[in-house]
Amino acid sequence: MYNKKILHTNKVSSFFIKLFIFMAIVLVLDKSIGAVLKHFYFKQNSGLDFKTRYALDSTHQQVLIFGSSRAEWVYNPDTIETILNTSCYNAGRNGQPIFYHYALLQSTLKRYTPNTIVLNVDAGMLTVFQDSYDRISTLLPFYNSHPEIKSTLDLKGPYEKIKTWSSIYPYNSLLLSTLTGLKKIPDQKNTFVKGYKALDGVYTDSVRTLHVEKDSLLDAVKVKVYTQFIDDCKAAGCKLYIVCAPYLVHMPTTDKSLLAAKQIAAQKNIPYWDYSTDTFFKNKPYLFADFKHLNAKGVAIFTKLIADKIK
Amino acid sequence: MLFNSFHFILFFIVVTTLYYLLPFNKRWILLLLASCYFYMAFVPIYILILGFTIVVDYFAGIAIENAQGKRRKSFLIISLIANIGVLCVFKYFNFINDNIGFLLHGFALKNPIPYLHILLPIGLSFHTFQAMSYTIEVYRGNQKTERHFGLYALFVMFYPQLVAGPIERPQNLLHQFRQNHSFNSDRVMDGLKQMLWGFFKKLVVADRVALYVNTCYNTLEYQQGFPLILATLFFSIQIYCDFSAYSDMALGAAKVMGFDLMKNFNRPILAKSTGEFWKRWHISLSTWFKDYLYFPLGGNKVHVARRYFNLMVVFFISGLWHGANWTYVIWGCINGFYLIFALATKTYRDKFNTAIGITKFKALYTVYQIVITYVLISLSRVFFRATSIQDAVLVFKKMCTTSGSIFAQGTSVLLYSFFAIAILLAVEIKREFYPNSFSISNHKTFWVRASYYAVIVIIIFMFGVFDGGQFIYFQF
Repeated sequence: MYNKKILHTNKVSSFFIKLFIFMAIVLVLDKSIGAVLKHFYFKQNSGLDFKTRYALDSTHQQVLIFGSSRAEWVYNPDTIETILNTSCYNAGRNGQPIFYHYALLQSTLKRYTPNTIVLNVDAGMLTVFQDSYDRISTLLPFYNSHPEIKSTLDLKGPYEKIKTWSSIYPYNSLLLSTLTGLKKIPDQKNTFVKGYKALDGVYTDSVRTLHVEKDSLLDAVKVKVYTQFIDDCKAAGCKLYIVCAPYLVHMPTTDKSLLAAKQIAAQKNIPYWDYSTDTFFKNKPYLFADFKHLNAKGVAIFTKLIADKIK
Repeated sequence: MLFNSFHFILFFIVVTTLYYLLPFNKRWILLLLASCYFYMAFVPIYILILGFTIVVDYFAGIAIENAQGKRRKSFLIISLIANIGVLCVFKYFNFINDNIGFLLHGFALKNPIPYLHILLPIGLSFHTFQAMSYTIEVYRGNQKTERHFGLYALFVMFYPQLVAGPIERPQNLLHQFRQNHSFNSDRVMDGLKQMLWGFFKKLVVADRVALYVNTCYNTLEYQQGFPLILATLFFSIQIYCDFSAYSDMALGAAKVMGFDLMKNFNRPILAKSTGEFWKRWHISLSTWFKDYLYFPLGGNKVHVARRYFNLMVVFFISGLWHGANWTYVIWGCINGFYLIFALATKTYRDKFNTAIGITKFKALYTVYQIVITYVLISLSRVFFRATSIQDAVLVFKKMCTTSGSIFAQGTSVLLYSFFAIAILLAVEIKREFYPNSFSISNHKTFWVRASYYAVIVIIIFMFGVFDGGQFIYFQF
């Protein structure tokens, strides 16, 4: 009986020793592979991750553009620079929600105060959509190095702080984009110029009505972050313009996000320029690459319009 | 609470630690409370539904055992009506109502029955079927009535298999709650390994492949043939990895605490016929239907036409079990048809295969059978994945127009998917065809084993999709 107990105790101890060794192996691999991934992530000199890093750490321009794809592909900084006679950078990023734009703003305002900020808003941007929170992961490589954006990144979930104990986790699924970003892309068409990437092509499909989810509710957190974006700009003394770029399609006037964005901007005395149903662009497929995004020709007209208005 | 969440990992560590610290006679209380917490993490109020079926079946079990003659059957029927009634209200009411409305519309009449605005309780079909198996087995005399209410409640609610199975039989699980499971390091290790493999299948394979599948199926109107063919083939991998991952985690979590749950999957993607597929896929449900529906209908001991009819009935109900939508019913019927066709044409197919000489090349013949089975099962799943019959028909139409290039959605999703599938297939093929040859996962040297599992953890960290969301089968 006594021997059996000792044997059992030995087996249990052996189990925990083995578990400890296993965890040590995982830890060593995690730290070493994480360090390699980090090294290469921050060595990128092209691509989207590079652009995010530049927008967080290196912008110095007086005019900054924020927003999703309808900012990234729709505002040409060269046009703005020429008309306003100042420097401009397009910090928009395709598919990114308000959390991303706000994190960039937080990081920017920590370094310097740009003169003018343009925030492009989209239909559905303030409504409930779980993916918006998942996409915050784009900024996870900066979780530990940028304390000012931690609170925004924590919106992703209650356990992000613990998850980022892993050195690999912040670079999850980024291996391929990192490898791609290490190379300078020779094709000028695919590179960003001051953060802007032109969309070529002309929309050829039929003009439809933009699909708006009937039951989608406003997301209180997104509304709060949007409001905070405005408040921070005002507190820093930046001139903020909120713009809704044109849509080719018939825009329903009931989009809750756009209504809320407009209402909050009005409450805060911030200019809100709504081009979503502008007759100059509406139903003109030759100015659009797809139903949501202007092509290079449309961008030239639209950016000039905005720059002239800011001027 | 999702198995693939950080919340669950914390929950599992706490519950397992407390389980081994507590004296044997208090463990059931811990497990019952933990199971309640686990279930209430979804929609707390639905625990009342679970409570209702537990109370009904507990007393039905006692009543059946105490009763004689026809009264036994009456109590069984009461129990079955209560269970199926709950399913009908929460899962099928709106479906039935829709169809009544559709029929009335044909006669220019308005359906007066209002639509029920309720969420389907998670895993309702699973725990209802498990509860029904208890009263049926008590009625058949194969299971003694459980008079300990707490243990019976735990049988229905045991958290590892509560929301997506395996659908346990009382003979296999109930008695295990009365056994004192002391800490067994080998079992704990085996359980943890199984859970880790489940995490790999869910996070690295299922949720990665889902990114491609969901994009294609959610934007059907923009997709051409190739992307939809690829998405359909991917969906079979996705659903297998998603569901079997849940089972692996369930079996693993139970094993860590000393419980043995029934095996639910046996590498179905390597099945060589549709018949074999159904012996390898969701085994706990297939055997449930076999034991409680197919055999009572006559099983194989009837005329061939009746046997085919029985098969069709089973697959029709199996389809309906999955979801309150005609797409699931059609999916079930297609699979029933596959089985009947296979049985009816076996002789001719064997002759044909011999005539073309493929049977002489054993390996090639095996690959050929696996591929044919996989494609057939994948095609039937178009109805499983599509949200309506119209969408499913559109998918088939578009599959026939193989113009355009493969939708890439950023090449990384496809490349990561192929990488994950390659690892999965390598492991599955090794386990299926070379079970006794060199094994890294069971290597005698601890360092080799530890390194192998550490690499799996690292692959999960690097390539896992951590925002993938819930398991597909939770909705059933």
